[in-house]
Amino acid sequence: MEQKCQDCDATMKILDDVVVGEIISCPDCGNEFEVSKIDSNNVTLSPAESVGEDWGE
Amino acid sequence: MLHYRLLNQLEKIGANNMSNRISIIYDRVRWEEKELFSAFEAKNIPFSKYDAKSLVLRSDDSNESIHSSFGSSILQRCISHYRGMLIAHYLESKNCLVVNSSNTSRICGNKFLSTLQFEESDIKTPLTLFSFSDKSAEDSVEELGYPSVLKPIVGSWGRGVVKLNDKDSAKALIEMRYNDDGLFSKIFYIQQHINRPPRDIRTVVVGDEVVGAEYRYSSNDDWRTNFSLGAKVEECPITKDLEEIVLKASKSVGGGILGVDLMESEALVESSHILNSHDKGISVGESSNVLIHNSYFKKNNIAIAIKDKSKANVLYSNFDNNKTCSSTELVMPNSVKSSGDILVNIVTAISNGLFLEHPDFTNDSYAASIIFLPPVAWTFSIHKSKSTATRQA
Repeated sequence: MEQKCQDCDATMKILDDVVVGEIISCPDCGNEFEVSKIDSNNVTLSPAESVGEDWGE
Repeated sequence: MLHYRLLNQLEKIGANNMSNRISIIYDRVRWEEKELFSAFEAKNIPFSKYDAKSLVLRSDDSNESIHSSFGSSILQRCISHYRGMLIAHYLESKNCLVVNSSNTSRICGNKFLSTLQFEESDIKTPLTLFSFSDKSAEDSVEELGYPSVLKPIVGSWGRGVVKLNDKDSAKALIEMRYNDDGLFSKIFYIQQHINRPPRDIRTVVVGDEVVGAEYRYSSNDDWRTNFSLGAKVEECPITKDLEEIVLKASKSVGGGILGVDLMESEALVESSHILNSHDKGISVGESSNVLIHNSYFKKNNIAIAIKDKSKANVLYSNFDNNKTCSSTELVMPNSVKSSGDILVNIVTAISNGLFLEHPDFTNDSYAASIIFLPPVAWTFSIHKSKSTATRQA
């Protein structure tokens, strides 16, 4: 599957085993998108949350 | 494989709850979450996935209602500390078992609290000073000396962890942080800098088992050892000593599924007699620091062998009839800071073969004495009929 980056229009490849919630990074501009919906072969992407001060492991 | 062992441990943690459905709550699906999903599926364990960002939790929901939605056991995987901790609090209030618990998250997500917990449990950590204004933070740094380390109390991946090398940079960094509008920017966590090899050890604990350990070597352009900053990793053996201290640390913060980091400080060999070794009296492993004090080396093949990226400081020690006293680099203390009793230290060497096998001193270098001079310079004298060398740092 492929999707266009919403910011720079680069092509992002999406693997077949992608799951909802996974993060896809644009190879050109580095922006991150979250898979918000998978409907048959159609993947919907939303802008991912930016890193928070309290993020970690 | 790790995840199957993790699941086995989860069975122990969750006691009889594995027969019920388990929920995994996350806010990002990373490869770890995908692996967990696969492992649950492979083991035919019924589970549900919840994106924390989509949850709406009601204060008036009954325990039964929550159990019917989430099951009674929850694996909390949120990358946002406060989001995960508060969800854990909520679910525990509805009588669910949450791993990690809200209490473990509360302590581990806050360096201030975890340091207090380690101190209470007698787990050795670097001396830490807590300050609550820019002025008192500067006083703390002055007390600890340079370098010292400034860390944010909440946060991961080495973000905002800075080494304060001198007064000017310390003042500037403290001022920058104090003027930042972050929630914790006026709380200063300042730690003693430990002279460690350029690596630390990351262990992973699940319940009462250390399931993995790795060395993390800092990249060439960063002193920090976080993987996210480019550290290289290699497997670290899980020794009994390592296991003991890691489990003690894990227990002190409430247990669960934890990453416990350790660093190796300088080893001390003190008041020891090291005699008649056919090989090496002391072998200092790669990337290690050792302080050898008041010790006596006699009739060893090599008294001290020092491998790559290692340092040995030798103080008040005697070498007698060793074939080679020291191979490779012997590092002198050139930054003695205190006004204590180590301002002048004498090493004596009598009737040895080659004293120092070192690229700088291979020319018939038979030694009689090394004299250290305080506080930032040392003089290295090698006496033999042919050569005398003097160096100043």
